[in-house]
Amino acid sequence: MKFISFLLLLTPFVVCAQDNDTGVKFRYKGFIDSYHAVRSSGDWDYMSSRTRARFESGLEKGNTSGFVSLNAVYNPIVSRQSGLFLREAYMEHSNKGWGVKVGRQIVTWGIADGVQVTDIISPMDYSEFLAQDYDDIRIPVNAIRVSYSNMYLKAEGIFVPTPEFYVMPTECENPWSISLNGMYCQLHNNIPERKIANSEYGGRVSAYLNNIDFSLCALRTWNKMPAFRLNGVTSEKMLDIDAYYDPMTMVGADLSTSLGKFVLRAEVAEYFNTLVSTRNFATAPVHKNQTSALVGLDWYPGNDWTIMLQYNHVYTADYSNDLSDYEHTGMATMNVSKALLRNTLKLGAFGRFDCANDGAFFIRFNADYHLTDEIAIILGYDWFNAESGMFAYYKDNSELWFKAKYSF
Amino acid sequence: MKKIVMTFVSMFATVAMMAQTLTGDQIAAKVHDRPDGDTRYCEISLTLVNKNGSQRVRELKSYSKDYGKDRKTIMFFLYPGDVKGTGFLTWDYDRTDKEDDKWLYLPAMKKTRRISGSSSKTDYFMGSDFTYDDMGRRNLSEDTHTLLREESIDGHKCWVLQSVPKTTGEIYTKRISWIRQDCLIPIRVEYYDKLNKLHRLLVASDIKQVDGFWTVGKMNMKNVQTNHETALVFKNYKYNTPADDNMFTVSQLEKGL
Repeated sequence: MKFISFLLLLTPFVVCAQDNDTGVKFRYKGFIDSYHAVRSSGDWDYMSSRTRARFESGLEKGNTSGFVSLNAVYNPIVSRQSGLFLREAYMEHSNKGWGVKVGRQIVTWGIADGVQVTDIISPMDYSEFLAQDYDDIRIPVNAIRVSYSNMYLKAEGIFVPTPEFYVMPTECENPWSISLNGMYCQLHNNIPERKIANSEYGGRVSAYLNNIDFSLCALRTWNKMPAFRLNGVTSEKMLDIDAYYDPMTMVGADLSTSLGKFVLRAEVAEYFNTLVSTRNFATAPVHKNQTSALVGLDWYPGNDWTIMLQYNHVYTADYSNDLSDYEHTGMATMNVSKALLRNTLKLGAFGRFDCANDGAFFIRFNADYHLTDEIAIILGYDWFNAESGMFAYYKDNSELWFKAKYSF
Repeated sequence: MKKIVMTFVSMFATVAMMAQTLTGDQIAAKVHDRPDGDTRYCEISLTLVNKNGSQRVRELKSYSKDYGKDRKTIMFFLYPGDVKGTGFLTWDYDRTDKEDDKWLYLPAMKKTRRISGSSSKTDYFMGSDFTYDDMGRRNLSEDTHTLLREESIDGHKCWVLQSVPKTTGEIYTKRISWIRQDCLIPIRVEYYDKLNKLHRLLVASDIKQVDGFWTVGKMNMKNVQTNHETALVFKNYKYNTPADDNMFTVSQLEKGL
C-alpha cells in the first residue's frame, strides 16, 4: 500500500515534467465502470456487484519508459476484492533492438483466444470463473524479460522469481465459490515457498514473416491450476481440501497464417510431469505428461463481422482410470461479433463447448452500445448448461448483467 | 516559307503527341507514384457527423516507411479512451499476388493478433465514411483507368479520370476523380453504387506543400444517400524524418509509440 501511495504521489511531478517540455512524454488512460449481475433463476440474487476505477499512466524519456496501472474497487459482495490494487508497474528500456522490461506485468504468449496452451505465465483469477472480461481475469507476475528483436524476429528470455498461481473462489460469501453436495471448500493452498529454487524461467523465439508468424517456446514452470486432494469434512461442515503445486516443464510452438479472408492458427504444448488430480480428489495427485493442441480459424467476411472458431484437445499420457479428467478432453470455442450503427453498437457472443461432457457449454452474450465517445452501456447474459464437467459446478449460475463504463 | 510551315506543323504534332501521351493508366500511375518522401508521420483526426449534426471523434497517429514499392505503416489510436493504445501494423506489398501482412494490437488483452491481409478493405474504418481501402493505397492494377476529359475546378486544371474495379467485390462500381494537374492530388472523387447512383463524394482541401511535398490537409467524405459525413484532418505532417526499421515491427506495436 505504501508503494501505491508513493506512485500516486509521483503523478503530479510526472505531469509537471511534461509541462516543462523536458522531452518526457506522459500518457494516461483509464475508465470507471460499474458492473452488476443477477442470477436468472431462483431468487434473482446478486452474483456480482462492483464499481471500479482504473488509472493507467506511462512515462517515457528517450529509450526508457515506465508504466503503472491501478485498480480502485468497491465490491459489497466479496469484501476481499474491495480496495486499491496495483495491477501492473514496470520499467522498460530498449536500444538497437535489445530490450529489458522489469516489474509487475501481464505476460501473454501464444495465439489462442481465451484458452491457455503456451500462455501459462500469467495465471487466471477465477473469483468469478470466466464470467468477467478476459483482461480482468489475467494475473500479472513479477518478471524480468530480456528481448532482442529485428524486422522479422523476436527472442525473449523471462525470469519470474515469484510465480503467481490461479485464484480460486472459496469465500462462502462469493456466489461463484464451488460447493459440493451443499458444502463449501476450505482450501489449504500449498503455494510454493518464495525462494530462488522455485522461480520460473524460460524463453520464446517468434518470427513474423510474409503471410506466416510462428514461435517456439520453453518454460520451467509450475502447474498453476492446483491439483486437489480431499481430506474430509471439517467441524464447520466444509470440505477440507489441499491444493498442490509442483514444478513442471512446458515446450510449445504456435503459428498463424493468413489465407484470404481467413487466418488459420495453431498452437501445441507438451507439459512434462504436470500434477493431475485423482477422481473425486480421493488420493494424492499424480504426475503425468500432457499434450495440449489447439487449432483455430478466424473469418473476416466483411460488413463488420468477425467469426473465430477454435478447438483445443488435451491428451494425458500413461492414463489410468483413477484420474479426475478423461484421457482425451476437448473444448471448442466460438467467438462471433458484429458491429452495427456505425460501430456504436457491437453484438457479441463467446461460447465454450465442453466436448468431453455432452451438451456442456458456457456462452457469454453481450450488446455494447456507445452513448457517446466516452460512455458505453453493456447488457449481457451468461448462459451455463452442463450436467457434468467443469461447467456443471456453475449450472445454476446463469446470469443477466449490466455494465456502464466511462473511458478517458 | 516552307521552313516556317514545317516548323509549325512539327510544333503542332509535338503538342498533339503530348496530349495523347497521357492515358488513364499513366495518370493513375503518376498519382500513385506522387513524391511523398521515404518516411512520413502525421496525426489524424476523424470527425463523424450524422444527418442530425451529432459528432463523434477518433484520433490516431501514423508512421510509414517505404521499402522500394512496398510500404510499412504503424498507427495507434489516441482517442476515444476505450480504443486508446490500440495499434495496427501493416506491411503493404506492391505486388498484387503477394498478400499484405496485418497485425492488430489490443492493449486490454496485451495481445497481438495477425488479421487477414485481404479482409476489411470494403468495411468502413471505425464507423466513418472512409473504407479501409480509402485509407490505404489501392493497387493500380485493381482498376481499369480511363481519362474522360480535362476541366478546371476552382481555377485548378484537372484530369477527370474514371476508375472501374476489375473485381465485383467492391462497394462501388466506378469512381470518377478530378486530379489537379499541378500537384497530382485528387481534389474531388465521386463513388457510384451498383445502381450507378452517386453514393459518396470526397472533397480534398487545404492542399499545401510541407517539407517540399504536396500534402492534403483535409478530406471530407459524404455519403450523399444517408447524409452522413466524415471529416479527416491531417496535422503535424512530417516527411523524411529518420525512422528505424524496428519501428515497423510487432515488438514496437506491443510497446507503443
